[in-house]
Amino acid sequence: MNCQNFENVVSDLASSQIMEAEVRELALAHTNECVICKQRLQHEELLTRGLRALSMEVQSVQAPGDIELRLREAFQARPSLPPAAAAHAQRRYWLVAAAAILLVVFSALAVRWHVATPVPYKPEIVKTTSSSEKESPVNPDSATTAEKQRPVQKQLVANGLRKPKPHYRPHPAPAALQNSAVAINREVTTEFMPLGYLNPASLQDGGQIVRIELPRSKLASFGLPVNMERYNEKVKADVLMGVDGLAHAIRFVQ
Amino acid sequence: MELSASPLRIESDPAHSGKCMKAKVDLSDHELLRQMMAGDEDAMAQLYRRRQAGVYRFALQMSGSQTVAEDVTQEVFLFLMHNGTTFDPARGSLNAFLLGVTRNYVLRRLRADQALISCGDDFEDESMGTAMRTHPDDSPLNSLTRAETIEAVRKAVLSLPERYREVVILCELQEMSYGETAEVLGCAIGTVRSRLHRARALLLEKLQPHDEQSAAPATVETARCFA
Repeated sequence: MNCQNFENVVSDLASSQIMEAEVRELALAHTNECVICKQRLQHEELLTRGLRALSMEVQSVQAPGDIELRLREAFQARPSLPPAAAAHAQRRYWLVAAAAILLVVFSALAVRWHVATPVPYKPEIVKTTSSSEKESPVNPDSATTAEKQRPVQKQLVANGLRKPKPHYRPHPAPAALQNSAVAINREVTTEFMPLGYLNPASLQDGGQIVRIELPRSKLASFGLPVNMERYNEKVKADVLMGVDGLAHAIRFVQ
Repeated sequence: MELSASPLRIESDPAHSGKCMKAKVDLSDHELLRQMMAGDEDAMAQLYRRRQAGVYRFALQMSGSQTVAEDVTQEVFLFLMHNGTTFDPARGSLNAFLLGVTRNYVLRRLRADQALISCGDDFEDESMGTAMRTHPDDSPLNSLTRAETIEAVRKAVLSLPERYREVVILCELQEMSYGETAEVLGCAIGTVRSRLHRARALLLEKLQPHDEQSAAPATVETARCFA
């Protein structure tokens, strides 16, 4: 052990702190070789004795008794919570917590109900046989196809459509319309599939459903299976038209 | 009977109070604190009696003033009365918590009292320089010398900078472990070790005999480089 290593352990050595026996032996051996470190250890031991003497001197020192009396007075005078009040406060805490939980649950249910509730609307079903009915372009592909096939056979006017979703999932209004159509015509239909970008504002003032016929091969473009034996046959479809004259969704009818 | 007619009289009955206090002796600090916060005065008294000595001694050794130590002791337990719920047993013992609060109050008091701050690192006293000359002899003939030594060490400790003083008091005078001291001070154990090492070097420097200091100033310079 050198003097620098000895310096690191001399305090613990002088204070009789717990240390490795080997380090202790090496440190003590070093004091036999180095006079300065031996003197350093003696000074540290003297300091330790002085500190312990001081510690013993003040060990019996205690705070004056009148402090306890003053603290008792302060304790009695403090606005303490009696146990009943504390229990009441705790009960109130749990009530508030329960109310908060109920509020969250009801909020979640309300949001869910708002999403799932069908939007009230009254579809007006009008049968039209005139093929000269004004036909608006659907989208580039559908419009050209529709023109080629002269598709309009039956038109369902749906006033009161509002706030359609951008994602055209089973929407309340079309679903209701679908149900009524099925009930009337006993037809089997697919769900409405969105045609390109849908602006919800365009359906707020109403809309139309236009019955068209398409080549069966068009089913493939919507990801639906096509029966190759009936490839050349036509298939019926309903196109959901907005007041802006654009086609927003389509469903196929069997 | 009059005693049973009034619960307050029962509480003030010394025999009853003595029984309650005896029953509370075995309770843990945390349980006593819980009862105290629920309004039990006996629990407060028991907790005070159990912990007042350590708080008072720490404040006394840190400040060197009985007045400050008494005020701080009172303030610490008043703080505990009103803010006992802030104690978290998961973070350490109640004793460490109380000493930590004591430390804060003492330091606040010392900073407000400029006169005490003036006795800083350069504090000198005639008795300090002679302390290291005394021999560690327990002979009754040396009792006066021993008293002088204790006084010199006390003054030397008091003259240390606060961050070294508190470590010496907790580790050497209160005989707390490094871990407990670190808990009180809110620092790492390694920090406690290094501060204690530096504090002992400063104490040795202050307790060095004056003739040795003048004869070997280089030693003092070396000691100042320990930190």
